[in-house]
Amino acid sequence: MMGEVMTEAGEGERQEARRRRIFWMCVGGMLIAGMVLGLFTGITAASKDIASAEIWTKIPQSLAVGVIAVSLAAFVYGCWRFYKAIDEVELVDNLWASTAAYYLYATLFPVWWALGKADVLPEPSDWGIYFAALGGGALAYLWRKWRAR
Amino acid sequence: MENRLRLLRAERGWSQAELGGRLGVSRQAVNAIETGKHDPSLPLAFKLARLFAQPIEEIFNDGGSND
Repeated sequence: MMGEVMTEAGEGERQEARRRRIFWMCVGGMLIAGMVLGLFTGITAASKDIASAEIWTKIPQSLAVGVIAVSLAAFVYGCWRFYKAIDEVELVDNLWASTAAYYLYATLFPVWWALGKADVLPEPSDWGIYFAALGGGALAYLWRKWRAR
Repeated sequence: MENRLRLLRAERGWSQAELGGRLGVSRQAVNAIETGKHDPSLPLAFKLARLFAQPIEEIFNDGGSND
């Protein structure tokens, strides 16, 4: 059986600090990328005196595709770095959150759609379901963190 | 799953962060394993066994019996 790889006192804490720094750099990087996209949308919309949501119909398609492609690439790269940096407990927490979000989406839409057809509720809201799924995932993630505190 | 991780760590005077760094996991992960809220994967269990120079079954007890 192999012995300890690290013998110097405090080396483990330095490794843990480095791992934590990479983790927060990934999270921070994705937040900054999101803020840049939000700023671009907001400033461009303000310069054209239109609502932010309408910006994608007012700019050239090539620019829209370029902005979305860069944002998507940044998101995918950030996710990849994030998953390389996290440990197995963080991975399990993320899988719980993803599963909760998926189940919420998979049940909420057909239920809302059927109730909409029965005139009990208005037609399903795309953004309502999207944010409900994200919120459900976030709640599941926070529950896991609270449980393991 | 019960384990002797906290005891083994205390014997060496290591903090949870120190053990986490040596294992390549977070302090929170060490805490989750120590308190039985997370059962480590087989690769992580082997890492622990190598680190403490003890067989896995000396560190973890699943309460099972071979009878």
